[in-house]
Amino acid sequence: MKRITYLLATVLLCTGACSDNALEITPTDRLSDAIVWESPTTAGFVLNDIYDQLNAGPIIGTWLHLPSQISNDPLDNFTDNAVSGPVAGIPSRQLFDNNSYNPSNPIFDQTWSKMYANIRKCNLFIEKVGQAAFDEEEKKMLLAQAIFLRAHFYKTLIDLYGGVPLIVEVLDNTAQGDAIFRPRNTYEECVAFLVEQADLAAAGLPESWSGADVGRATWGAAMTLKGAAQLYAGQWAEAAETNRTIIESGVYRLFPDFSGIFLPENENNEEIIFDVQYAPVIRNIRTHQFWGVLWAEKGSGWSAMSPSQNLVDQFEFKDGKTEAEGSAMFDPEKPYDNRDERFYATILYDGVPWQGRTYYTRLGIPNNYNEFTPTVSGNGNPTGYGLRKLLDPALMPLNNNLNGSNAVIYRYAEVLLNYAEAQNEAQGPDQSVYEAVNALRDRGGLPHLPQGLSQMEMRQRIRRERRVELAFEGKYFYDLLRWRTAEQVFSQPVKGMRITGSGDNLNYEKVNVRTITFDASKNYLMPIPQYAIDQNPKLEQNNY
Amino acid sequence: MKTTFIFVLVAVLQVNAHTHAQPLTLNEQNIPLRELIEKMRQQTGYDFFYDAKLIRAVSPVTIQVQDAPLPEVLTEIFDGYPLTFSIADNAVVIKKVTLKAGNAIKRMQQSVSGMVRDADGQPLAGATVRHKGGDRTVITDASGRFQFPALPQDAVLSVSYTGYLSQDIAVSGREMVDVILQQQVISMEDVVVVGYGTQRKADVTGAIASVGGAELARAPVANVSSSLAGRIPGVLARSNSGAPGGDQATIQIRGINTTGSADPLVLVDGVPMDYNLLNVDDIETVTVLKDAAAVAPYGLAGANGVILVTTKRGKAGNFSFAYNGYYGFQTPTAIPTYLNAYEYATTLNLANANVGNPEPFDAEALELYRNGADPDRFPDTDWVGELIGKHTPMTKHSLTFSGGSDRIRFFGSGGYLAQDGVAETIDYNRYNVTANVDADVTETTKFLIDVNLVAGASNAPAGVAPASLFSTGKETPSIFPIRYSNGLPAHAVLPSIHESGYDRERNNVTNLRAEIEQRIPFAKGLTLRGVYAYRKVFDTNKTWNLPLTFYGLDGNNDFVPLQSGPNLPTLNQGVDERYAQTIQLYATYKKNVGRHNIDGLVVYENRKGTEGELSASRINYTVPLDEIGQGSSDRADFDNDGSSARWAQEGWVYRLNYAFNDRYLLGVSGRYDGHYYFAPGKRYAFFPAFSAGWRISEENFLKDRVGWLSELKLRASHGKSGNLAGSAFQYLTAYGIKSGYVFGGTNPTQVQGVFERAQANPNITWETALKTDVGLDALFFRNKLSATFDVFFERRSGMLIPPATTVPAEYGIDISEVNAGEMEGRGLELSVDYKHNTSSGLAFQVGGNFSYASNKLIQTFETQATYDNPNRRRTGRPWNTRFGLQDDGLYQEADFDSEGNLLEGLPVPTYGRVYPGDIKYRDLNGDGRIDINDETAIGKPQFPEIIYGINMMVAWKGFDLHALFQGAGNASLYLAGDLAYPFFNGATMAHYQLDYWTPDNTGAAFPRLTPSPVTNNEQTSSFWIRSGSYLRLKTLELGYSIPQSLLTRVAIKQARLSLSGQNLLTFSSFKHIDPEMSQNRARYYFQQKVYTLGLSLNF
Repeated sequence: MKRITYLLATVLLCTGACSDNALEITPTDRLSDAIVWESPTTAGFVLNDIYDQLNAGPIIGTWLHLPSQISNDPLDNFTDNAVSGPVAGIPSRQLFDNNSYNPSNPIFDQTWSKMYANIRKCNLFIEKVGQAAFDEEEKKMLLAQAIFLRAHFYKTLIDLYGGVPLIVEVLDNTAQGDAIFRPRNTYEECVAFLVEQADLAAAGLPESWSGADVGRATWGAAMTLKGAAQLYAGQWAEAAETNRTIIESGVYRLFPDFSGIFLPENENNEEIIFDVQYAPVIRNIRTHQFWGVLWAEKGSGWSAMSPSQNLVDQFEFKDGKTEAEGSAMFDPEKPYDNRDERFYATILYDGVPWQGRTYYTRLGIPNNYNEFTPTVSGNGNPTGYGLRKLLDPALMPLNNNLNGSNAVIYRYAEVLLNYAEAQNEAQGPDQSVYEAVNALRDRGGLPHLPQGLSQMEMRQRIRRERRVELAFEGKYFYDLLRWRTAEQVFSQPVKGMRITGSGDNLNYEKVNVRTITFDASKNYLMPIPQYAIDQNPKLEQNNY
Repeated sequence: MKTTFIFVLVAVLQVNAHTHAQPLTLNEQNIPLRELIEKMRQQTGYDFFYDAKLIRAVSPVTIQVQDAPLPEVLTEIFDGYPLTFSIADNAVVIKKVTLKAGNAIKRMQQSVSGMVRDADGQPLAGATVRHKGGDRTVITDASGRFQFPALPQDAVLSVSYTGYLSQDIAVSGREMVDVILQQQVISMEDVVVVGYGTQRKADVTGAIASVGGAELARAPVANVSSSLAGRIPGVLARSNSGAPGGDQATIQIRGINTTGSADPLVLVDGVPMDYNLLNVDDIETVTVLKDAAAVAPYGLAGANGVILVTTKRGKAGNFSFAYNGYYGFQTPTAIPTYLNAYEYATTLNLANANVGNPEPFDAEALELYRNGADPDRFPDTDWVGELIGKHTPMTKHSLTFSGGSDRIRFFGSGGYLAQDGVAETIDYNRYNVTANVDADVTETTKFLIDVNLVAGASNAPAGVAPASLFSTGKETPSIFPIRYSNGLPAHAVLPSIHESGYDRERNNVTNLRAEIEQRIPFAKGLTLRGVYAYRKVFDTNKTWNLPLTFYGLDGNNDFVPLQSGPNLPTLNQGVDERYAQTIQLYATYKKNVGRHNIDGLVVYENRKGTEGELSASRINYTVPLDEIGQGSSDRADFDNDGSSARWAQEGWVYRLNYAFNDRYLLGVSGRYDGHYYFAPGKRYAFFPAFSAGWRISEENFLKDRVGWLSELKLRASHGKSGNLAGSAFQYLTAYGIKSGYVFGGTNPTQVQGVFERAQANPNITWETALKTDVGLDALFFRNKLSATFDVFFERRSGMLIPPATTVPAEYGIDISEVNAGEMEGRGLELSVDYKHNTSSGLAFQVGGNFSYASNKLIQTFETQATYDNPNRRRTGRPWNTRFGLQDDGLYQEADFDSEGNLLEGLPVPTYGRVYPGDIKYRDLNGDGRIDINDETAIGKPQFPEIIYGINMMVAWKGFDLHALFQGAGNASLYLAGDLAYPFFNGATMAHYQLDYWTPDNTGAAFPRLTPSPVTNNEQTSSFWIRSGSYLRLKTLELGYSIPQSLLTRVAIKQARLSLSGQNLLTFSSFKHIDPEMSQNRARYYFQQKVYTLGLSLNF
């Protein structure tokens, strides 16, 4: 017995005395500062994470209602190009249409904090790699990518809010104290910053990448960003110059088949300048589930981006005129015949063969979930049209979760349009403007623009070309804001197509499906979210 | 052994051994033999030597003798007992008769009857009377009587009755044996479970409450925590789900006093374990430690209260073998009713007409929905009825055995629980095996070994989560078909339930515990004890997900097959292993010196563990073999993941209780505790507590003077305890790794990403609670009525709160939480219990408990915008207060001019245009606009501030009825999504939503009818608050014990049939959904009402 007693006492004392290290545990899921910045490889992992922030995609629960190109409520829903099918919780139907968005109920709720989180990642990377003893070439290549990505994130903010605080170092509340609270820079300062940063990036980036590096930022991406920033800022001559440089470089060409640009098998083709990389299985996005049409039953797409009649009316007929311009090829009984090729690649309309069946939106077909239902609440089609562009037919209409199509941020067609617009504004409609636009019209099977257009006429043609060519790519929303045309455009109702009758006796009737309230006194800039204002007394709100 | 004993007796008694024997004169009624011997000793002057055990077996003696000689008297007393005596040298030695072969005393058999009563003389019906060493057991009848037809004259009867101290009584040749049992439950001599040990109830100075396992076992629920509701004052148990095996409750002790985790610490036999997995029949008691004095020994884990579960162990001599089981059915407690197809179509037409839209359904469609003539194209589907099964089975069976000798005692059990879900592919099964042995290996050494195994299995279809059957069922409009008239499924949900493959989870827990206890012979009162506990949790999951086919009707009315689920089968499989080890080394000391009573202990405790997980998956199976190795060989179809971690904690515990004269009690307890979460130098802290008690009833001015007061004790305690919050390594700045971006275009490869984690806080530590408690315990009317009352106050500080508002949104990274939050909690508890037995054989017991606990945030981070506005200020308000607009009813037509514009002067809402019937909000800041600056605190907390329970028991003539009512008050529900708005996101409409605003129904409960919710009406506001108060009949049990006469032939000692139920009745103001709903949109697995038929048998 005594022995047990002593044994227990010994153990008690020993464990008590030997326990200094008992709580020393090294975590198994994190790296130290020293390891991360030790080599270009591990530092490159940080850069990979920055790329990963380009657009996380509309993963349920995080970015679900966040408007962006890749979303269940994409940016074109905030224009007269499209209407979202679902209603509840969809900002384009609830906040935007009613004009009930404000700092506490913003549409772009997380964009502010997300973009600054991304910018911090870039700042940290640039600071740490800048100090690292890497091979100079390698270092330059790494830094240029981060500088481009930072500029891209800033451009997202600037396009929505105007001038924002330009933060280019890592904020540290312990070291910097109140200096972490920054006021907004002016819009002009921000544009100048974008231009300077894009130049810096372009200088360090290659024209292209190969193999496992495809998808990284290139010289062309930085230049396109620069040209777009100048265009958005109305710096016409500079914008024309930048875009001309890209055109003249000969790095990019138009992809011959318009409908094939966005297919997974053609990813990173000769037209693509910069795109968000996705891969099915590894990193699927759910766009097809959101955007796909409802098929003959419930259970496939959400019709979350249904093209409007307003957009359909912008597609010219093969004679180069629209219905409104009195095209001779417009047949009221067959309104979809003889259109711009891009129409067929962009829009699903009543009677079109699609996936081995026929897509109908006309009234009176039993069990047709795609039936035109302007007041749709969950099922039905709000405009009479379905989205065709961007979708991979191999995945439609079902099993659409495993979509891996890349999301295009910049492609060569935009460079041509950017150039045409800038040059027309700076110099008027010279031959180079015609050439840029006609290149796109060729692909659409349309005649070239008539010669002798005035600057104003050319402006209108370029804007129509741009709207049709870049539909559903998230550009038109920003165009309406920078052209300051939103107030006129939104004063007109958004229309859909109501088709009645049967067989060859169909009646086509354009009906109003949506009204957008727009207040020109404030809505050209988005409200900065209230949380940002509350947390930084130096931030001045836009006119809200 | 015996020699020692006699030697001691000699030493004590020999002082008086000097006179000579005299003749005896005795006149005694029912006097214990021991007392009689004392009287004889006094009269004779002789010393008596005997073994106390022998004497105890002799029943009280009635004797009347005048001047009788000692041998004669003794012969008479021992008649019928196997005792003999010898007298020599002024000493009497009493011995057992040594039986020799052929010389055995022939024992006479006789009929024995009797009556069992309580101390008040009331008969006890249903008491068990067992012939010790024999094989017969009888149960007393309604008048407390029992009868054995034939028993040996020297038989010893063991009498037991729930709630009373068992008693052994010798028949001693009597034909009538009356037994008086003393009440047990609220005896001050009882031992109660406290932190790291037990204590005499009389000496307890902390706030402690407990409930017996037998009470908990009445509730037909899968998880023990769910049976705690209403049983213990101060304990809130809220069951958030009715999923099979998933009814475990959120437990809060004395309210929520922290912004961090408010979960209490739960220990099973002193070791952390998920008590929900236990077989309830293995539980002896559940004890809840509430105040600082009680929880201080748990240091940084004690601040939210501690639940101690003590499991059953074997007892010497009492061999028992029992079966306990039930079979029953479950049904959701409440489901709203929804519009049928015709109602839906007409109401949606109305809604569209209200906003000027064309009506979606024409007259022809309406008529078809009404008459059901074309069910394939114009169906009327009862989605709730189709998807949410009612009366689904649930069953439980358990076998227990226990017993032992003086030296070795054992307990063992096996349990099985099966619970079916709302669909046939959803179920839960659990197997429990327990065995424990207590061995007195030497006079001073005890060795205990426990084994406890749990195997749980959850099954669900791969294609649909069980909870989503509820959301699909309650949200899908009835105009959509679920299947066609030819039987083909019309919606993916049906094949998802039946053909989508499986999602299996297996949960295996092994608990081993060994304990050695050594009394130190040379230091009386000192005991050393060592405990080693090992726990292994091995969970596996396997999901085999298959493609599905359902059908659509196309334009030609042809059925078209449609695919859902994956393109080809996929398999995901994972294992999750967790090991934990606890070492406890105890030194306990108990000593009585005169009127001083000391009870203390010191414990060193060390816990550590490892955990790891590994998962693998493959997609694109072309063969129907659901094994990882049988899938596609394409590396691109492979995936895997894994991680591991370690943890450690250690502490030194002390507790010292001192009692003077059984009246004045003092206690100190505490712990020096360390945890790996924090930075070196920040890892250890000290949590002390002090307590005192005064047993007023022991004072001379009360004791034996006030007959109705049996006990009155005043207690007070004050001390510090801790709560571990946040997560490990928040003190470290470091980078995380994740699977990141995809480069490579058409040949994609995923690359690794490294990201900066939240900014570290090197000073991070635990939160501390300063708790004060004052309580009163009282017993009245010979312990028949008991009452406990406590008031408590708590100040929690150092709560981890995110300082996000202290840096701008442009900062770009989360900064680690800091220990800056402060909260105050206060409340009171009262419990009363009354037991009574009447002479007619009716026994009843009624008890109730009431608790109130509220909290207030004293310090938190908030923005200037909210802090400067008294309506919006978070500081000073209860934690988790809901903020929203204050509604002012609905807009009426009189609020608008003839153009439909809001009248001048009325505040303008900023959520789009409003119409009559929309929600009107108050302009609290008076700026003429309704916006976020008008928000204020709305409603009551989500977790009730008031909880109460009422339990009752009535027993009469073999019948017994147990009822537990449980309720909550000062709580709010918030309606959101389809619970609030009709046609929300394509959902249908509930019947209760038909009370919407129209010009003729201006006092409606819901706003005007619109085909989709209006932004203005969707703002968080008081309009959608409903009372969350409720009272429910939580558990009801009616039992019937089958009369003994029917059981004797089948060798069953006792048989009881019972009918019981859970959540049978609910009283609440919003009765369409369960008041304990766990989510504002009620998209969860609804709570279930359970009815069972049970049987228990004792062999």
